Amino acid sequence: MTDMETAPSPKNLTPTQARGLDRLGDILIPGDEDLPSFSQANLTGDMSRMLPYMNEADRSSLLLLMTACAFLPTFAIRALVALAAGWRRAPEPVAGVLRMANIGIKGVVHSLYWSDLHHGGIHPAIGYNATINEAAYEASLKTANQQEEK
Amino acid sequence: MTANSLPDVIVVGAGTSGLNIARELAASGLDCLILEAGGRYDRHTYPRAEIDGSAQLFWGGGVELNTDASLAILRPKVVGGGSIVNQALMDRFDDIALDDFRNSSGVDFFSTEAMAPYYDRAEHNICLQTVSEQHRNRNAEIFDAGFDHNGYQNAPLRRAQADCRFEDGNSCIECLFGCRIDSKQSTAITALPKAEADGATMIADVEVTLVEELPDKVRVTGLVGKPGTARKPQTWVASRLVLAAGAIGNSSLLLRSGFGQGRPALGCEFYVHPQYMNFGVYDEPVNAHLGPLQNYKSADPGFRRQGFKLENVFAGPSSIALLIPGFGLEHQQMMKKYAHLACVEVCVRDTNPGRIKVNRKGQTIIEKKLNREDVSRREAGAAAIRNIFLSTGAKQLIEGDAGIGLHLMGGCAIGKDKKTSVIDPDFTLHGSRRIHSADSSVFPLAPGINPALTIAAISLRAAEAIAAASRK
Repeated sequence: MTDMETAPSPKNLTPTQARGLDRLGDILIPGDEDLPSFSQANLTGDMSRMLPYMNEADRSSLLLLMTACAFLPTFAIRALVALAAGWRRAPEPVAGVLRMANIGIKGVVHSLYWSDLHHGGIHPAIGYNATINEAAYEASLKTANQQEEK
Repeated sequence: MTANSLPDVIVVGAGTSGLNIARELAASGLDCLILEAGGRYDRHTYPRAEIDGSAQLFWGGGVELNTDASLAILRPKVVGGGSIVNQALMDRFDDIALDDFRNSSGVDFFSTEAMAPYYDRAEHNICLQTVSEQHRNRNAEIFDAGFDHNGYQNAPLRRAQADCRFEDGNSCIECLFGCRIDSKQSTAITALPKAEADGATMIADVEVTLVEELPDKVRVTGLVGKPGTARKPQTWVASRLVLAAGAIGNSSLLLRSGFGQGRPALGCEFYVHPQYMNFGVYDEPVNAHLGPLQNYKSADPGFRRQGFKLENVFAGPSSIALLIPGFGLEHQQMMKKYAHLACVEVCVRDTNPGRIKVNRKGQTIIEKKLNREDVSRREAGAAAIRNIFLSTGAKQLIEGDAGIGLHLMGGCAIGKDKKTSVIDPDFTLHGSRRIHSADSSVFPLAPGINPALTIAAISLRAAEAIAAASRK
């Protein structure tokens, strides 16, 4: 769904929502000797990079989920995540609701974590080293311009 | 456009179609105002991090979902539209696609001969290159070898690119959120500068919410401002309106503006070429993220007959993490094998049309499902992918967790019959004298071929018709 907001949208999580996101994130990404856990990666402040761009309905549902995750026992959060991840085992239309939850949860947590926003060694740990050599390109433009001027 | 004067034409949407049309209309002497919901970036300002690219360059902060969440719809929202975030694959439609378009719409110019001059011009407007095999990565090698082992036919890709400078160590995966060396031939660098040089005005961060056709003009209302800020409504007036906001944008805008009455086909016949990424895990590094992102496409007549094609693709870590099923340690372990993943995607030529609707709150609803035929096409493609991976030494196969809709088409189908189409063969809204469209929303069905070049070609044809209508 898309919508048309005229009022400014919230940019940051409340401390409760941030705690909920960390608890939810740690179920998806618990961390190990090579990778930090979601909460260790210190990403809740970076939700400000996503929240303004989300549809209001999606944002409200997500914030509600994060608030709930702040208070639910860990086993309940795990059960929720497992239920959503297991959408293939459910009949339609229940599977559709679970798919929606699955994509919503994974979309937020994985976007934050695997973008390696704080250069916390996440990209090196998985071998992601793609680059664009902008300096070489800009230097080539400069050279071309100088030659043109001559 | 001079101060206080009304533009001749307002173009809503600055993507492949909108900017091609704006360039042509501006060159013909018309005053053009271009309104785009997304932001305007350049090679210095495109988002670097995956999270920022998704959030800033797509509607919904990354993805939108259809009603049963079986498809993640990726709808560009940026000056340049799909040409900023696509892989810039440029193919002409074959006789199969054009014949189907002509038979479905009754529009005669959907033929190889009639389209040829417009394809020629569209190709002339950009740099086109066949992706060099010199720098191909192992994902491409696996794709090529797997096709060879199984007797499938593939072909090198033709891409809208000027010079990707692979000798500098560049990787095209980094340009999925905008090309930082201006190699990718987006309309933001190929069409917009020319349109502006000829007097067109571009305003970014305007979400058009209402269009009205009056006896002597059109009126367009939009919300102005960047996401997250308090946006202010503003209204513009012009002689004509070109809708180039894509299948979902055009359909929902017209429906929201009350144009559904008397146009039963509005929002119908919506297609997406559902795409499913499948992964093979290899012992040796594949490094699918390095170098050219894609080298080959399937060119197998059997695949075309069966209604699918395979693509040699990959994506950044966040997207791959979303697609790898599961969670927790197991998922994390698989992500550590990111550099060992090969990826082939099946792209389905979908036959079951979806529908774009608008609910009482004005929100867009995307109804789209695969029917039995579409599912069998997907499965046939997945079987071919399994053959490719297994014949090239994959140790494990993974089916992606979500379908993806990137090629968003239809909703405002072109045709002669007002009951089954929305736009007439002169690119004017049925029953209108001042509203036009020529983007992917006018496609009457799914072609099964990447649509970008054909959108550009049709837009050039439409620009001639719109310029002629303006002179009357």
